[in-house]
Amino acid sequence: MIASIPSATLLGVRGRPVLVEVHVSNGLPGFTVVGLPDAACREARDRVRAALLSSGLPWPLRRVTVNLAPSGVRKTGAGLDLPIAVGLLVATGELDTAAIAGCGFVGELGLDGTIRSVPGALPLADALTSSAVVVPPACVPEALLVGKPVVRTARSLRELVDALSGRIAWPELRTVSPAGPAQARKVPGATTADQACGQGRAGPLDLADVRGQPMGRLAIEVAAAGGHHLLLSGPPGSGKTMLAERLPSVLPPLDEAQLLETYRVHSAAALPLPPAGERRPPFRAPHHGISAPALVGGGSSWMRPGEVSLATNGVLFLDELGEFPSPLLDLLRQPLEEGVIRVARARATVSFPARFLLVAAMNPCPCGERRGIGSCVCSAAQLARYSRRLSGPLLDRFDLHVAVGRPNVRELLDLVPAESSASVAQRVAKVRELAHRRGVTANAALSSASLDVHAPLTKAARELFERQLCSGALSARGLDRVRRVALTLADLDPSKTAVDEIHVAMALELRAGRAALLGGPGQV
Amino acid sequence: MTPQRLQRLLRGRSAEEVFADLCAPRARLVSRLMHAEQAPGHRNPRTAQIVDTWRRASADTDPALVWERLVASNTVAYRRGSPGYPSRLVDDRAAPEVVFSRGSIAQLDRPCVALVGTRSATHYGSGVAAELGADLSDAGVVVVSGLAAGIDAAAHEGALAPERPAPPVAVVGGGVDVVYPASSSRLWARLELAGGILSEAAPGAAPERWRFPLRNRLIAALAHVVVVVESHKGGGALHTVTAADERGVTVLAVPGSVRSPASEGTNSLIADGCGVARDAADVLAALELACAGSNYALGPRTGPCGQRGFARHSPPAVTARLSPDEHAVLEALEDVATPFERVCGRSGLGLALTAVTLERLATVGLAARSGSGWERSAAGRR
Repeated sequence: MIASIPSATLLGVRGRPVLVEVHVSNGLPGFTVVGLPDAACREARDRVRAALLSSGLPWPLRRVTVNLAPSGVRKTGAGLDLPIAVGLLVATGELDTAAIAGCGFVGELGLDGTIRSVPGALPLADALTSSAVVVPPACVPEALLVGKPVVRTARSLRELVDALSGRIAWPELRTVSPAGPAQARKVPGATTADQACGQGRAGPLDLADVRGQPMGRLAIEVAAAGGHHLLLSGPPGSGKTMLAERLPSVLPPLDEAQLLETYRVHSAAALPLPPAGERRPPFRAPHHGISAPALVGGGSSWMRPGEVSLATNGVLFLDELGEFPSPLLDLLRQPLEEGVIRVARARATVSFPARFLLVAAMNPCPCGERRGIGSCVCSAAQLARYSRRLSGPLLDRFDLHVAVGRPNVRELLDLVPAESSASVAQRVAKVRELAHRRGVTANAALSSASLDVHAPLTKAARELFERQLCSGALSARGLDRVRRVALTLADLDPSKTAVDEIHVAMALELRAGRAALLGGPGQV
Repeated sequence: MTPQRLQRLLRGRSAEEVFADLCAPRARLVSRLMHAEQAPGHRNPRTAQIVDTWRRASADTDPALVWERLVASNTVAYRRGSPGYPSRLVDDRAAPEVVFSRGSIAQLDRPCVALVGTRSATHYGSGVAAELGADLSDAGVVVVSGLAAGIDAAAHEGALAPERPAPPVAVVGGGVDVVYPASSSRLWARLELAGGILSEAAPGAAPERWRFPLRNRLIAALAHVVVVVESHKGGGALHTVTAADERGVTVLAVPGSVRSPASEGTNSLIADGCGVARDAADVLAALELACAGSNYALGPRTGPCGQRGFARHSPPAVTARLSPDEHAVLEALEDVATPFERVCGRSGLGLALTAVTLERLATVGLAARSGSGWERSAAGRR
């Protein structure tokens, strides 16, 4: 007897359809899984046997062969437990072939027959070509997100068999998943991993909490409005982290496509999805001890998306940028340029989305006090070594490089509340709207060629650029970057239509931290 | 081997004799060397060990080969007393027994002014050092400095120009072939061509910390006048001042802002009664006094340096034409680097308006970027 059950396995942030074929024949009793299963997959045999027996279903004392087609693709995880069990029941005649027609299955089995959730339910459900999908109860919201016409669930194998054979009605989707996705998903260890990445911190933070810091606030606003990568440098305690954490609060909310992409990546990484209705862009803040696969994605068996992908459509915040090993930082160059990261392993090459806004913070020097000359105790050699840690090509990716200082006492004690995120977000949304009309998501994405069309310079602005270029204060490469920032500033300025001298001067000032970091009167 | 040891070793004997002693069998002369090595008045328990080290080093050295290498690398070595050895050093209390040079150092016989100062110079300090270097060099004065970063480099940059009557000389801590710091490698090469580089350390010697105070004493000994352009409190440039005081060399200091940490050392020097150098004319006046009675002749006064304070007086015409905003921003600036936010807060103008006004002031030469902030530049200083 033979049965074929559609299912799927996870590779990166995409699911791959897998056909689970179960063959039961006479012979020495045995159970073999073929078709490149990984360890978790091979262990399915013992889980399936226990689940069947504890559910009061028969375990055939015959020769059982399970093939996972296509055989050339490595199958990972325990999500194939359920289709194997169902296939076995069909092959032994316990279930009717007609009962499972057009149905795909994904789920892990407990020894008592419970159906447990699996990571990546969203991409897995998406990959299932069948019209109906059966997923674990906790994965229902994710399966619904991809718009499958029929989503079904059962709490246990027994319940599933009864529902498939028509003895009971399918459990109501709502009753099995009363809470939103965040509460429904219970992946062990996810919460701690999440807190480590600073996801929890970016809750209802508001720019109104930031006192003083006019330059820092402007930098955040410009970064959000124009999608410009931002590097904040300043002494410890100057509020760099505080500013960066508030960036998501002024970014425009995610649209449907972005939301789905973000959910897909989070699901594939086995992280809890944000609560339903939350459209705030993700904020990821990995610690500098992070490994390369954790940052850009990868891993030997399960190609897990890295922090750059989890931050897609949102903010990747690298605090203490100077402490990150420089080979790790250079890995960011491809995603910064292309918006995707391709992770190649011997078995597979996976492409992860990685369109994020990069915000980094660092001290201006090892002792952190290089604000005025004289207060810093670092030697010239130390300073040179510190600025060498960041490669030039990476520094070039930052359109905004702002030196922030400690706020003065008067500003800290000032009782006048600063502008709130909500009103900044309104201006940001207007600028993004203008960018959409230019055919890009944000001004930072404008090509050099289109700058002349979209960002005409006034005479005074042109003269200022000429002076900067002639004096060597601005490089040819820096020119376009400054022009894009100046365009964003002009967009933020409702009274101006063209890029004026005032916007160029401000854009130069928003990049001046670069020269300070590289030491001396270097180029902006 | 420190210069003092070398001096004691060579006292009253020729270099050849000492070398022969070092290479000879042990028994014959250890006592003689030990006697020479020990400073009069106290006994050093490590003497035997030190002499031993010398003997080992001498055994591995072939004088002919060393000489060949010197010639091949265009390095000249001068023994004290031999022709070409800087005349100002001959009678010095701590004269080096031998100096090495690249480029030309013959001009050291002419009036020399040392421009010294901090390595972490401000825009103001580097500007003044470069101006002084250029003006003094124009006036036929040899500028001597240490080729370190900051003030030294700026002074050399200023003094290095084609067809200047007096090429500058750098006195360096390590060997003349050991470029340090790496950032001044280009300046180093230019000095080799257009000026001179001098060192008492053997070629190849690393620029170790202890060599720099010794280097500073050479600068003080070579100069007729030492000008400290900028120095932090307790900065290395003050070693040069001490060495100059010991030798009775005139010391001048360039005054700076009382708020600038980089001028703390120089301002204290002035408070202690040291002469003030506001421009090249001040230095030249001091130099004339220092050289009075000698047969040194200064070149003809050319250029504007004869007129007092030419660089410092902001042209009234420029400041008069400033807009109120520009005045406000100029007022908010200091002589030391001021963070942009502070300029903005003081001027009371918005961020963007301050930024554009600063750029405008920079265009007319009244303001300049410095580090992560802005400072008043030469013309804007009052």
